Amino acid sequence: MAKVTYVEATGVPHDISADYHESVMEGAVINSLPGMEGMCGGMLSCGTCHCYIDAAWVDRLPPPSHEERAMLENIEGRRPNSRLGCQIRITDDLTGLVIHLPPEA
Amino acid sequence: MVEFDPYSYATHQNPYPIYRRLRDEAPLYHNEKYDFWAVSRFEDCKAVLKNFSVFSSAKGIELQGRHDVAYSDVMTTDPPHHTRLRHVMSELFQPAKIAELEQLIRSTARSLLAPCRGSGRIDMIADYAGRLPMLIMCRLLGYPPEDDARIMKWTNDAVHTEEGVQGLTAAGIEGLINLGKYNENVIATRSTLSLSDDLVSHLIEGLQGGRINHLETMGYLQLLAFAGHETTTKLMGNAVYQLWKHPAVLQDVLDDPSLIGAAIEETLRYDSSVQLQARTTTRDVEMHGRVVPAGAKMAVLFGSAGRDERKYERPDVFDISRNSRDHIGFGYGLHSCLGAPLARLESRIALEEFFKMTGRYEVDEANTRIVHSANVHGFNLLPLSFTVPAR
Ligand code: FES
Repeated sequence: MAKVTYVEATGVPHDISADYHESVMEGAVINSLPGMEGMCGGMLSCGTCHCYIDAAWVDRLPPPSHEERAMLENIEGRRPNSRLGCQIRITDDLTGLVIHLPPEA
Repeated sequence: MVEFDPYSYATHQNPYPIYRRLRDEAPLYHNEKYDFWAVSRFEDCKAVLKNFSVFSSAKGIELQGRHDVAYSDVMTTDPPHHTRLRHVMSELFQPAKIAELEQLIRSTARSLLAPCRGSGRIDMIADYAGRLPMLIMCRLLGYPPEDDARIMKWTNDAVHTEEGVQGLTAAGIEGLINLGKYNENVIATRSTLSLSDDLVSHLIEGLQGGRINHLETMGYLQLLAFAGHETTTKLMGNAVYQLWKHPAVLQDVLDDPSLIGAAIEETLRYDSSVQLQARTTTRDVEMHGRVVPAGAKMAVLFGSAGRDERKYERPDVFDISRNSRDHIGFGYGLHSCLGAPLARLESRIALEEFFKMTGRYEVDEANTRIVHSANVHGFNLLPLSFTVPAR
């Protein structure tokens, strides 16, 4: 199981252990963290799982698919390190991953 | 005092006036006769769907208790089991993967329409929408086409409701038992073969890899046989009916078929095929100044959420130019419909092919028949006529 850290927009960190290879979106929603909605449940149809990947990790994740990139293009507050949380599975090798949550909508 | 009876025929006919009263007068409603609670405003529905630790799916998502032939599946589990089960399949239902099915769906749709093409008459449900999602699912599962007819019969029997009968009919129970035996056999035989790319192969891989157990595999197979069978069918029917009711919108869609997707999304808001799902409270919880006790059934009224005037401007207007995906017709959050990308693609192609054949059409309203269900809203029969172009 991987241990990852979510940082709220206000700076508050949360250490989470992802026991079921959940996605970055599911990890946040299951733990009721603010700033991650995950409306469509991970079916790449809503864009409400937007988050920022810590600079040190951006290149260590599998790159976004064409569809994820297309959806990211329309997202407000998008930055170069933006990703959709539902498209990243927290596999064991992601221990230490740091995810920055956007401000709560 | 407003009364909401999810089993009454009047409710099934037109639930929307009652929903409005619930939202205004009883945003947290308690029905004493059947002993359940209900939320009807958009934000309350969302809040309940979001809070899975208080509003659990593990005791089933129907108002009544679960019937005996039910297995645990993604719809009836909470995290973490839900997460584990969902990921066995979730990659396969991503939009990019589903998009590969376009040709299969289109050719299946055309072959279903072919016999009606020259006649000028078709029953949207019985001839078309009631068959298309099932046939596609059988191909996705990898079932041989010669089994289509019996699988269709079993599942049709199981979803059929009878006036005054709550839950399954005798034929429905038999259908589920037969489907169960069939699926046991599928698992046994397919486990010995080399695996391919179909859904059964993925399930068997999950089973052999210890990610799901045998009962969960059976649960998945049963769920997949029904998933979309009711809801996608009714969605297609409701869209065709609502467009007929709104001729100016229909004309826009006929003139510009790229609007079909928006019409489907608006149907999901305005006249959702899923009207109600239940959760069970795991502890006492306060809402709108009252306490819902632990162990209570809580109904989430999707159909009402879509008409909430607190959320939508002019909610009772069927308007396909809205921000179309801002609805909970496919649910919300972790339990949001896994098959939504497939339902969207099937509905879009089904309607494209249908409109190409019919142009404008007339619903034979006197001969329509709606389904009587607390959960699902739509037609069992939706006969209509269209003009056959002269050769
Ligand atoms: S949860 Fe909807 S796109 Fe990620």
